[in-house]
Amino acid sequence: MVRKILKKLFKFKDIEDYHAELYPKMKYIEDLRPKKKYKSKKK
Amino acid sequence: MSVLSITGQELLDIVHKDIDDFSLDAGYYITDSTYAVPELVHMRTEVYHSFTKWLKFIGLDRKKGEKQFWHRKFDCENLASLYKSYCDLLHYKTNPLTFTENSKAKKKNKSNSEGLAVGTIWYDNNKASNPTTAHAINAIITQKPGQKELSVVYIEPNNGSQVSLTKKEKESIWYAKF
Repeated sequence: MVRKILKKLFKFKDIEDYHAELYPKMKYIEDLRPKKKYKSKKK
Repeated sequence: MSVLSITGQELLDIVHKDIDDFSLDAGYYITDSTYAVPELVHMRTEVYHSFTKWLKFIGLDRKKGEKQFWHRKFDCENLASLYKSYCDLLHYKTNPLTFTENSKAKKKNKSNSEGLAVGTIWYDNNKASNPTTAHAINAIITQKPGQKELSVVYIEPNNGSQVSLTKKEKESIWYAKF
């Protein structure tokens, strides 16, 4: 609760807030290659 | 959405294709078995912007009036290595679950590739005032806008710009690490 008030009043930041700013989620190229189908071997 | 992953050999083939006269003396180090392929626009905008913030956070900010992040004792190859490490760190932070955790968790990793297709390269910079100046920059294996095939994009970590290497410069690469 105290942290919430500090955050609101003084723009106090938790370490997680800094991490969110410093380490954005990576975006990747989508794999559009046809997926390999594996057939089970019949005995 | 499944993330595109390439093997170390596929990555080396793409680098091979980009450099016509592949120098056999060059040291190309492929240290992971698989590599996730990052999105170019994201790398050049959000990732680079956060990288400069991170440099400031770790005390490597530019002073007023300075154009470069590098210094005599922390120069281009240090910055290029740091950019690669930072991108690897983002890849890890985006996909923090271990193989076992990922198989059990509801919220899965985006990518299970060991590495990210971002590397560092060392070459002779012919554009510099001194033509024999060695330089280090970063190379990203990605899709260029409007292209389906993967290719190499060279990035200057000092300002985030895309660099075009001449044939001579590409042939002069003597060390690359992905």
